[in-house]
Amino acid sequence: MKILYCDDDHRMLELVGEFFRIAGHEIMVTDTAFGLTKQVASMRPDVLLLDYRMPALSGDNYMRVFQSTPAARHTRVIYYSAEDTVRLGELVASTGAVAFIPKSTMGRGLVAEVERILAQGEPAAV
Amino acid sequence: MRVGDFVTGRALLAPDITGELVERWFHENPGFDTVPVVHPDGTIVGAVNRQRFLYMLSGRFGHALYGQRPIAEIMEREFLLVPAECDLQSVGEYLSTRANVNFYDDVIVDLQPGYGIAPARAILEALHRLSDQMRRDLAMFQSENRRLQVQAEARWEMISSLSHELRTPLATIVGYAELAEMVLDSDPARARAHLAKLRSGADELFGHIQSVLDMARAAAGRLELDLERFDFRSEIQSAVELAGILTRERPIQIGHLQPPDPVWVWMDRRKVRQVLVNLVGNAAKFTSSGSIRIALMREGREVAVSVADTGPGIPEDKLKGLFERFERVGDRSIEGSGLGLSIVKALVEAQGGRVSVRSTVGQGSEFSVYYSVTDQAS
Repeated sequence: MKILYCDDDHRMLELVGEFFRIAGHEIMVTDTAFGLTKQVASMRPDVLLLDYRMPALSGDNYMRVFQSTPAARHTRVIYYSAEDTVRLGELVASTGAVAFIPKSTMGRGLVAEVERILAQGEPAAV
Repeated sequence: MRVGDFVTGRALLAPDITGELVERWFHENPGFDTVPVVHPDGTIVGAVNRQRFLYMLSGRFGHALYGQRPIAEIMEREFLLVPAECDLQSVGEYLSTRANVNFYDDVIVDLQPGYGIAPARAILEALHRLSDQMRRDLAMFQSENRRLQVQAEARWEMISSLSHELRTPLATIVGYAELAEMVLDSDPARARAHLAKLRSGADELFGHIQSVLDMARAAAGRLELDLERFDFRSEIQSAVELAGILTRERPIQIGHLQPPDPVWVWMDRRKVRQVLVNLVGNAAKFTSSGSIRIALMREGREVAVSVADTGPGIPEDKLKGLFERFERVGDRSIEGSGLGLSIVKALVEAQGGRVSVRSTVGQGSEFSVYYSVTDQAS
């Protein structure tokens, strides 16, 4: 599984990167949503793990850019955030993401949850 | 002038019709005992009863008193209370069934259900008082309601923001604990490194909690200061180092300006440091390239500290209330959102200082803090 993880917290980038690598997945991390679509287009990840609260370009604002990018259509977006879960649920419904995972889910639990979501079906579009 | 119209089978009189015309109308329409008086806009303003009206007309001076005047001006009337939901036909039906009815009834629409009769003056006075008071109360309630809604939303945003600030370091603590556990036997050195980072996350969490408590104490006027004498420049140096660490992988130049001589102050050092950490952290978070400049100046008894960045800047309409705790709805796309600036303001004001911000969208922001200081214990 190829994962691209975007979060403005460097420790989260390090940790999440470490757990996915240990689990045998390919993961790239970035600390800003700027230029993210380009990275998605070149890496073509199966999953974009996206923090919601990021400076300058929040997750939902980024999703508007993402949805208008044909090269990103094969990638599923999962919000990974410490945001209120009710709000995350609303964001998933309104922005075209496939799911959210609260940041209270960490480590091997996070990896398992992403694997479970990805195993639920085929990508939306290729 | 037309004496009456028929609406849903019941006659209606305009309020400016004189008693003479009403009398003639009753003679020409023997099937009607009571007619509602209706304003041209359709509002029911009263009702005239045949028996009572003709009796009054036939009395001494009756014709002179009642026949020559518009019926709406005739005195000695009582008021009929009808419920708000009552339609015109129902009012007419009710009037026609009343025994011992009055000559003329003004109809008052009552908000409470039920019919009734009350003396005119008392009703009028009560109605005026009630309507004036209701208008005032309604305006006040609407205003207060709006204020509470805004405050509730802002409080929710603050709690949501606070929760976010606490959950992220907590997630890293959990993550590093799990990593350490995984390699504890196979690679103890690596496990120790993970535990050190776990400790760092715990320290950050503790710092957040302490800041929130400080903010709450400051708001309640209960913030205590732990004063000590120190050279303010040392804190500027720490802030510069922090800015370098936070921006190390980005093309950002860190600059600083400070007096060559010591700037001795007698202040709460931890709170000064927290202010600088928040301002520098904010600048680092929102600046992708360019520069962050930290400056310290002393003029007389005032120390001024500024942190300027080349971030996205803040729109003018967002500057107002940027430092307020509950008045602002959080927006993470705006520089300075979250709790950081609220805490800065609380900590600065606790030491008698003030904060300000200048910003230009597309160019950057400059946050300034001014302290009135002394280097002596008072």
